[in-house]
Amino acid sequence: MDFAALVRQHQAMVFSVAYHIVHDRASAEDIAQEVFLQLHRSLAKLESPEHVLYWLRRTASHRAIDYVRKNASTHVALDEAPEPVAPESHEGDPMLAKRLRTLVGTLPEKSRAIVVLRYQEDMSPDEIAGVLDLPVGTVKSHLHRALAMLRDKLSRTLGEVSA
Amino acid sequence: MKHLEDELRRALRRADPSPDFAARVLAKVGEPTAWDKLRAWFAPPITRWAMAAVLVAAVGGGAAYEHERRERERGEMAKEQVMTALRIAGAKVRVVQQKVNEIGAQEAEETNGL
Repeated sequence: MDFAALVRQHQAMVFSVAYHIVHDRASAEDIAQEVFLQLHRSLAKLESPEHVLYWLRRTASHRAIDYVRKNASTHVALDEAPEPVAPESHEGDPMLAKRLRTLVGTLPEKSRAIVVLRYQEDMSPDEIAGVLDLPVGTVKSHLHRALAMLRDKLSRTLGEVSA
Repeated sequence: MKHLEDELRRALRRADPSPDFAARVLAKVGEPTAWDKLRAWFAPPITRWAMAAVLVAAVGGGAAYEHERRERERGEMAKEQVMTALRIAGAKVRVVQQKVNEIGAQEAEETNGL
């Protein structure tokens, strides 16, 4: 597998997983860089493109969670953190999207990672459980509580969000 | 809840890192580590032979120095023993000389008295 091609193919995914968990652009790029350097060292052990994708999601999530745990006291105010530029979309409210990203950043780190893998990567609870080394039941429970929390906070700040 | 999930998918869409991100990663991968640099220095045969020669010389030189030091020590001890023997011998000779002088003096007195 060509390493440079893998970097170009997966850089947005790895960076975005890191960014949506740590909510700091510079740190997310550092984390993403470390993930790819580790991929380069481990590439010979990976057997297929699917294995690479699984490995990248797993490594990026774990590194981002570790970063959040180590840097809890130096947390940047989420409203002040500069946001990466996402592809233009004519759907949805950009302010709502920004508010949601901010609220996701207030979740506990494990719940944050689960929400990111579920809604950024469209992974099932079973797949998320494998990546994060958690029981499936725990993943579902975290997801349920995180959505309830987000819905509650969002409805308080922006009015009712239709169910 | 479905509406919230749709909004989350929109909010958490993938975004690109800096435009030069891939180039920076590839540049880092190309950089040798400190260990790689050390290994590369030892890699050419001439370097390996030179290091082996230095090691052999160091070991051989050390052994030769030690041998010479021990020979010098043995020489010093032998010299010390000879000097001691000479001192003892010299002392004994002085004692004998004294006795001879005394006897000579006695005989001279007896001869003069006759």
